[in-house]
Amino acid sequence: MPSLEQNQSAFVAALREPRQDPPSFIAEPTPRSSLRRFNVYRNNVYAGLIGVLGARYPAVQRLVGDEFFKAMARIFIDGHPPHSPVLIEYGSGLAEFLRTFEPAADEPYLADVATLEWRMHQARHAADAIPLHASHLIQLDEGSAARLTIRLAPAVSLIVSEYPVFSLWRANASDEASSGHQTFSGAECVLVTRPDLIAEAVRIPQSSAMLIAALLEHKPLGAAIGSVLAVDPHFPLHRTLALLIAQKAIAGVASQDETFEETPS
Amino acid sequence: MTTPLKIASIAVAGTLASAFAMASAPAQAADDMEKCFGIAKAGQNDCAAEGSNSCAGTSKVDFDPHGWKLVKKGTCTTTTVTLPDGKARTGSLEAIKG
Amino acid sequence: MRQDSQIRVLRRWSHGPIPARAGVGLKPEHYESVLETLPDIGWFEVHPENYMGDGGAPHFYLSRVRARYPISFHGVGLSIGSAGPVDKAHLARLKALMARYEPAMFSEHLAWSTHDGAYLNDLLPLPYTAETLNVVCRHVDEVQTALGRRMLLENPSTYIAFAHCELSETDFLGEVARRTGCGLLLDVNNVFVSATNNGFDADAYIDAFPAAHVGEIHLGGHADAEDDTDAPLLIDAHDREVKDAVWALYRRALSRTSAVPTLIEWDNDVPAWPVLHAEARHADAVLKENGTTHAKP
Repeated sequence: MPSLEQNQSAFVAALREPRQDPPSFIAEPTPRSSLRRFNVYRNNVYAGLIGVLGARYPAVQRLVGDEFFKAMARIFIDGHPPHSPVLIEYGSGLAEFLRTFEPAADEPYLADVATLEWRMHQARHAADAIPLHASHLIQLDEGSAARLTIRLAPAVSLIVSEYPVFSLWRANASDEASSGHQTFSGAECVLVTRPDLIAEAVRIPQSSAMLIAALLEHKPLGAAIGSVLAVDPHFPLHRTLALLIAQKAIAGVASQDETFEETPS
Repeated sequence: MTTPLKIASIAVAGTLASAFAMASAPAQAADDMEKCFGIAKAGQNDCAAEGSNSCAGTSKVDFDPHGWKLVKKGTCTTTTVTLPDGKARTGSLEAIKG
Repeated sequence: MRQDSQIRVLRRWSHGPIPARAGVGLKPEHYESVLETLPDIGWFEVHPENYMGDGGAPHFYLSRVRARYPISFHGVGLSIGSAGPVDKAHLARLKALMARYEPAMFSEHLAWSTHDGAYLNDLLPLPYTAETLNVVCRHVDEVQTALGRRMLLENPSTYIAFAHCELSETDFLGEVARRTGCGLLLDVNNVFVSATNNGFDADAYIDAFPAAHVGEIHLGGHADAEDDTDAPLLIDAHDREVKDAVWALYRRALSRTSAVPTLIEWDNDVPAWPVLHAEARHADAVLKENGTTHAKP
């Protein structure tokens, strides 16, 4: 009789190798009846995880097609099994996996679409933040404003792609999204936020993305703006800041003088 | 001499008030900014489209003991992407039983 | 900043036990319906793993549902039956989530789902041996000690059995309850599925179940398939109504247990709220009928 550890090691090995017979210590109610029974476990493991990845990466799935996605997901799952029983955290490595996945080598934009979908997923589950009320910003004088460090909400992230990642994602994120054949080109940058309960993506100009990237690196506002102005003197500064406020992306500001953040009452 | 930081601080002071005003006004269409809500299965909040933990098994068979070969699909489906090098790619790929 | 103040305000919720009536598994598809209509239903159950994110919609809705209904946590990730150790990090997250939502009950499965640090995303079967009994008792004890509360352990759906078993499943569960003081969750659908798949008698299983330890009953729908010899193979899919044979088995179980909270599990192909609520009302009717017939407390 195998020990419990031997039993479970053999069980896992057989789950992962579909061509292998079920472990010999399984009782067979009738001869040769155990294969399809054991396959219920194989199917539960893979179908469940493929379903998780499909829910998390609907645009990637639509772009490559269902059959390709399932086959690709199987390979991904074998190489990157979940390491936590919390499936909210599963699937972060798909973009990296796609970058070196040879059958998809001709579709180099897939990895960036996967990155956008993962960031949307992260935004959905990111810690709640109370957006900073703009009245706190208006009170500041020029000097203080330049020295401000803006703390962006935990849901905020940025995708800078050399591909039309936003357009591709939007056209493929749901069954309803796509209408007829579409052609996309050009580089796109995307801001991901979660203003309330629903994650949102906004396509933004590259210069806006530069500013937000500097803020994500905790550069003071003045230095961040200066670095973008040096590259693009006409960049839409007002609209970029207005967008951050409208998307409830600013969770707090800190300066050498004072710290402002909303306090729960 | 006017440093970039000085310019920036002036820009910031004027900007914060007007940014707030713009943010509280109705959304204006801008060619270079375009918003899209998250996962939008018809009639669903996007929280419903989660892959999540369950104690249920499944009768949907996604398990295949024979594996797959992954190949490019001959014809394009719905999306074409023009890459930075000017080459066009269609998104759909094909899996065939190996 | 986390909206903890909001949570504190909402914490006027009941601390009483789950009532001896029907509840359902809370699905995201039903968050809005439940909060808008506040249906007459005893309680809700959730998998705590689905609320282990930092924030967002899951916590927004669960805190609001919790403000109005008792809830139960039904874990799927502790892997009580693993030969390896209990995941202490997961146990700590579970404890923190319990402090936040104060569920009236906590249950887990007589199964394993992790091996060498990998999570297998299914409730896998155990050989019922003296060694397994020691492992399960040690893990149940560790979990109850860490959480500072009694847990319920659920009988699994199984598709295969092991050649070397030293105890029946009912004896195994009874022994775990006796040694650790844990309660049992009797999943009647699992009994029907496992009995059909492994060729034992479901009625005899119910009659042998250590009924005094039962703190909760589960009901759910299963799917029909066939094995390689065309024998029936039932899948615990939770994707449809509870079948008549399972309702009959439920009545048989209630004739042996006290009136206990009963959950309808419907996790795949989730129906509109009224369909799920009707299943819960059906269970309530059976509970009531049983109370009248058997004059249970």
